[in-house]
Amino acid sequence: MEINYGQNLKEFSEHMALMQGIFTDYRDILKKKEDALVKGEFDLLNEIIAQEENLVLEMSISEKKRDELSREFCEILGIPVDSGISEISSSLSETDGTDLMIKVARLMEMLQEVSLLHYNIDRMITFQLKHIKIIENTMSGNDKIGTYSAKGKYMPNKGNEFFRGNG
Amino acid sequence: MRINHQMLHSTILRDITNNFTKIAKLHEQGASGLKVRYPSDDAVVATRASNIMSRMRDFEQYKRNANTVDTYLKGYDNVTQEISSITTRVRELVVKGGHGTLTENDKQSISSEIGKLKEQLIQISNTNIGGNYIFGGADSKTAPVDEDGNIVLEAIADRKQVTNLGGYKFEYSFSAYDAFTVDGNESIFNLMDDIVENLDEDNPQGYLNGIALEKVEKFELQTQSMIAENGSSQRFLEMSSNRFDSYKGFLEEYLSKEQDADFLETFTNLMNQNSVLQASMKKQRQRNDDVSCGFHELMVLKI
Repeated sequence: MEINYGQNLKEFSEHMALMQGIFTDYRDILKKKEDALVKGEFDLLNEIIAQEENLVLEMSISEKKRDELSREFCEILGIPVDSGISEISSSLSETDGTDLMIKVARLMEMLQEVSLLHYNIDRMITFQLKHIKIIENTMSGNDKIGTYSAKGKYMPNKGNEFFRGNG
Repeated sequence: MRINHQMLHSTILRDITNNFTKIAKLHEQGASGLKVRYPSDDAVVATRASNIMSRMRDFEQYKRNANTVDTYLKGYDNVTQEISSITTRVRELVVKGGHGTLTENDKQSISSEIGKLKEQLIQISNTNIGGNYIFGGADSKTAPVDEDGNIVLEAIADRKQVTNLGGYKFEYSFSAYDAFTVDGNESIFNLMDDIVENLDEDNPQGYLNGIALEKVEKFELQTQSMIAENGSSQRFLEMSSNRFDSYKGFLEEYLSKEQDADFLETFTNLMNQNSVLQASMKKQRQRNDDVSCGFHELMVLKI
């Protein structure tokens, strides 16, 4: 058990470091993506998305591997196989547990950063799509420009339903 | 049909008037630089131009909204960095206070420094930009924290401020509850008071090393998240401002192609019309010298 424990802890710990590396690459890709959106370098997005897809695949594989390692490790430690990382840490010696938790904390920080980048990129894309629609409508003459009444009340243009056969 | 003198006279006068109208329009196009100025010039182009101009005014408004938000975000940027430095110092003091070997003087000096840091934080929480309290949420006209460090912002005002950026509802503000509470529950000012109170106790180590340190660390993380969130909002704002500029540029160019007069064409037309007018006037002069010349002079004066 002692050999298995040591080997498994090493493997598990190394895998956490590997995941940290993958997430760091992913974070960097997302930063590039955000930058391309800010600068309007839309051609670059195609390139970035291809890289992003590869990393997402890598992340998915490494997450499966982490799950496997975690289950094996839990079995060796004699705790339920679906135990969380903090339960695993508390079952280890103080030094090993602390080392593992430090790695996990770093990974969590990275995940938070990734999540914020995702959120920002998502709203940036929503914004851009909205604007493409606005420009498209303006150019095609489908724009609905609101006006104001004599009393200053906003009067949204509901479109000319009569000529669309709806009136 | 017999063409009498009166009919001839009327026809010539009508020709001259038409020519003058055409010339007047060409002069106007030359002066304004616009080929389509009134819907009657070209209804389709005029309507599209009017819509584009409305859209451009919208973009100008969105740009102004973005500038206002930018002022806020820069304010948050400065302020959150200050909060972060203060919190780091509070954590250091809590760790220091948690040592069992402190004298009464040491404890007093820690308490006094925490008191000063609290005052500084209260000042920061009431940061005001252009008459608006930036942590005031929906009630930006009222100071959100009183001088004792109580958050007095009404719960109903604990909302993010929203601005319209091109139809996108952009949320950008932080309320006093977002910025000065731990887990949206206990205020950082109360926590600082508790730390000072516990330092007066005989054995403050348990509280300081446990609960207090944990809460201060949580607050530190929250502040870091706020800094990151504000940073991403700044990136979004940069992107939207860039887009407004480029869309506006695009619309201006489009409008110019649609609506602006081609000067060469306009002035060629103007010269042609001048020639036609001269010919008409010569003809008129031949037919009816006195009346037409008088009319001609009158028209010239009008122009």
